Amino acid sequence: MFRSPPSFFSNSQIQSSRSGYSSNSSMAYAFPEEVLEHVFSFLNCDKDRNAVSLVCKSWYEIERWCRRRVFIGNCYAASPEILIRRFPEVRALEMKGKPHFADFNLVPEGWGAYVYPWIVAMSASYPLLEEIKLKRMVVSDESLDLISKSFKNFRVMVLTSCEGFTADGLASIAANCRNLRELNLKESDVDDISGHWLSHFPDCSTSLVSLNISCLLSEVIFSALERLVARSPNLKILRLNRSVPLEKLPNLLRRAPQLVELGVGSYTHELRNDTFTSLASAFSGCKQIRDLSGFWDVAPAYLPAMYPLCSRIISLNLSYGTIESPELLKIVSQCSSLQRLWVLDHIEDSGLEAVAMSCKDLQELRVFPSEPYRVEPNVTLTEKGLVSVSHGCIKLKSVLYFCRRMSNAALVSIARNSPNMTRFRLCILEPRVPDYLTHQPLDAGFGAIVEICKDLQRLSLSGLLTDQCFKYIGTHAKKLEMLSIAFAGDSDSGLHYVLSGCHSLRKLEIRDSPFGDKALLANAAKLETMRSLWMSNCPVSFGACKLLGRKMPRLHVEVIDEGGSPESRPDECPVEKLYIYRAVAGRRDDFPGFVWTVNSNSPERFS
Amino acid sequence: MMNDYATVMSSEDSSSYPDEEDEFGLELGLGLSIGGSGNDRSRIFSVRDFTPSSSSSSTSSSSSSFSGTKRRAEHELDPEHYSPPRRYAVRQVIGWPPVRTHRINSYLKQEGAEETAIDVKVPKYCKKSFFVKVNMDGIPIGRKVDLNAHSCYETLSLTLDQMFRVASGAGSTRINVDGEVVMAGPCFSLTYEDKEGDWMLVGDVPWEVFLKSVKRLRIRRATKANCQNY
Repeated sequence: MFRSPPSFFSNSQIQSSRSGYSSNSSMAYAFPEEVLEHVFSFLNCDKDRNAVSLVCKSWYEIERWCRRRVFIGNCYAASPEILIRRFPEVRALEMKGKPHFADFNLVPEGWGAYVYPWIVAMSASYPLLEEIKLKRMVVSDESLDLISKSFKNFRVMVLTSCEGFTADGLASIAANCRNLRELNLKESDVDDISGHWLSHFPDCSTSLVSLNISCLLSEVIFSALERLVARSPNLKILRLNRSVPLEKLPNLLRRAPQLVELGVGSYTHELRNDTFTSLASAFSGCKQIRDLSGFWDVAPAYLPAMYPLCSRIISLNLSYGTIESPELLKIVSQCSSLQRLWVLDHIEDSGLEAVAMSCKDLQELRVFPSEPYRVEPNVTLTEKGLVSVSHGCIKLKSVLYFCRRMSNAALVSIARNSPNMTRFRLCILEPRVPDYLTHQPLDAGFGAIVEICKDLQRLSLSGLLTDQCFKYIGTHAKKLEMLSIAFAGDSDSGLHYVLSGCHSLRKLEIRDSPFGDKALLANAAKLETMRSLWMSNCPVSFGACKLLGRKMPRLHVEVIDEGGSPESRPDECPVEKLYIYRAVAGRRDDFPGFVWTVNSNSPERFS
Repeated sequence: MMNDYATVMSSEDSSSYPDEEDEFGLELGLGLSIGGSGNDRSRIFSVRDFTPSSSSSSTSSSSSSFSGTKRRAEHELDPEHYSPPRRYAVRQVIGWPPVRTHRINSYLKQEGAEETAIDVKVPKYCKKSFFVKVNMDGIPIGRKVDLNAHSCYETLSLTLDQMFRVASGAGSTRINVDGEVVMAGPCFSLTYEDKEGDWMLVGDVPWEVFLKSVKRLRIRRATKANCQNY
C-alpha cells in the first residue's frame, strides 16, 4: 500500500522526465541524482522507501524511478495504471487478493481478485519484469500464458492459495520461461488436466532452483520430473505431490544431492528391505537437507530411513499425514536443531514435552487438528502441551495451536514463559468454550498474553470472551497488526476498545460477534489507517454501511450478501458480510451480483 | 440480531450416554471425522441406489419410486429435524474451525488409492480429467471428483463413499440411539445439478448421458419420511 497517494503531486510533476525534477530543492545541488539513487539502492524495505519518498519532491521522483520491488497488500487498493504511472521500472511484484477468511470458505466464489488486468498492463509497461508473487488471487491460464510470453527475463512465480488455472497454464510457463528459477504453487487449487505439463520444460532448461508442486492432485509424469531434476544442478528446493510414490524417491534424491528443502510425496509402500535400504542411503546422501515436508499416507516402518536427517533439520512439516504419537516422539527427539515444527495433534502432550526437551532452538510451532469436527477428543492434546513447549523453548515466538480446552492459568504461564511472542493464534475447536477449570471466560488469559508479550503482531482469539478481553487488547496490544475474532464479545464496546486502542492495527477480521454500527461509525477514521476490515454475521446494518461509504471517500465499503439486494430490506437489517478497505484506486468494476459497493461518488447503491 | 447457532453445542451440555465401554462411532454424515483408519462398513449410499433406467422421459414431479422417469430432487434439507447426539455434534458453521480446504483434503483418503472391487477399466492418466465439485449436507468443505476416472455409477459411488466416509476410529461400532440402530446409508441421496440448473437424482439416466449433463454433485440428507421409501 503506498503511503503517499499520487494525487499528492500534480500529474505534470509525476510525468516529468527524470532530469526534470524541481530545482527548488537545494538538495538537488547538494547531491546529484545518481548519488541519491545509489544510496536508495540500499533500501529494500518498503517502509523505508515510502518514508524517503515523502521527504521532498525530488526524492519522490528519484525513488520512484529506482524502486524495483513493489508489494500491494490488497489488489483493489490500487490499480495497474496507478502502479505503472508511479513506478515505471518495477522488476518484482508481490500482491494479495481475497481477504484472509476466504481460506475458510467465507468469501463466495466469484468475488474477484483477478490478476489478468494487471498482467495485461504490465506486459506493455514492464518488459523486464522478473518476479510475480500472488496470494489468494484468481489466476487464469490466459494470465499464465501472457506472463510466459511477455517477460523475457521472467524468473520467479509464486502462487500461494491461488486458483483459476490448470495444467495448461503451467505448461505455458514451463515451455516459454527460459530462465525460470522458481515455480512455487503453494497450496493453490489447480484443476489438473494432465501431468504432461512438466514435459514442456525444454531440454535446455537448467535454471530451476525451486519447484513446489505439492498441491497438485493428479499424477505427474515421473520420467519428465526425473529428467528435469537431473538437469537442474542448482535445484535447492523440491516439493513433490502426493502422487509421487515412495519407491521412486531414492532415484530422484540421487540426482539431487544438493537439495536443501525437500517435500516427499506419499510415504508408504509395502514393506521391503531393498526399498528401505535404498531410501535410507538416498537420504544419507543428501547432506544439505534442512527442511522436510510432505509425508502423506505414512507407513511407520519407513520413518527410520529419515532419522539421519533429523539432527540437521531446522524446519519440519509433518502435518499432512497420520503419524502416531510414539513415532512422532522418536522423530522430534532427534531434531536438536529444529526451529519450525508443523504437526498434527497426534503428537499429543507427551510429544510436545519431548519437543520442549529436545528442540531448544524452536521458534515456531503449529499443531493442527486431525479430527476438527469431532467434539470428543481423539488424542490427548491439551493446553499442557503448549505450556511445556513455552517453558522449554525460550525462543518460541510464533504459535498456531488447535486444541479442545484451555485455561486462564495456562495462558498466563505461556505469556510469562514466552514474553517475546510475536504471533499467537489459539483455536479452541468449540466456539465460546470457557476456562475448563474455573468456567470463567478466557479474558484474563488473553489479557496476560497482550500485556506481557509487548511485541505481539498477530493474535487470533477463541473460547469464551467478554468485552473485558477487548479492553485488555486495546490497552496493551500496541504493536498488534492483525487480529482475528470469532464468536466473542458482548457489545459494541468490545470493537470500540480495539479500534480506538490498537494503534498499529492493519487488518481486523471478525465473524459471528455482537459488534455493530455504533463502534464502526465512531471509529470510521481509524479504518483509513488500516488495510482492511472484515465482518461477517455481525449486526452491522446496511444503513451504517451506506453512511460509512458516503462519509469516507478513501474507503471502499463492500457488502456481500447472497440473500439478495440489501436495498430491498429496511436499512436497519444487518448485512451478511462486510469488507471495508482503504484505496487510492476508484471503485472496482469487476464485482459480481452479490456484492454491493457504496461510496461517496454514488448516493445510490450500484449492484 | 445474532444468529442462533442451534447446531453448535457447548461441550458442557453432553447428554448422558449409556455405556462408557461401548466405543461410539460417529454417525454417518453427522460429522466429518478425518484421519481415522476408516474400516467402517456402513456406506453413505449403496450401489443398488443407482438403477439406470432405459427410458429418460420428460421431467415429472418427484415420486418415491426408484425406476422410470428422471426425478427432480426435492430440497429435503431439514437439519433441525434430525437432532444429532451431542457428543458428536456436527459443525454446520461454515468455516469453523478455521482449517484450510487443502489441509482437509490432504487428510481424506486419496481418491482411487484403495483397491475397489470393481475394475476401473481406463487408467486415469490416459484420459482428460473432468473434475466436478461434490458437497455434502452438513459438511462445509467440498471436494472434487474426476468423473472421467469412472465408467459407471458403481465406482463413482464407492469413491464418493470413501471420500466422505466418516471414519470413526479403530474398532468403533455404530451408535445405538434410543435402542434403535440408525441406518445412515439409505438416508442419503446423491444428486446432481444439470446444465439447466435443475437438481436431479443420480442414477436414472445412462452413464454417458449423465456425464454430458452433470455440472456438480451434492450428497443430500433425506428426511426420515423419505428414508422409508428406500
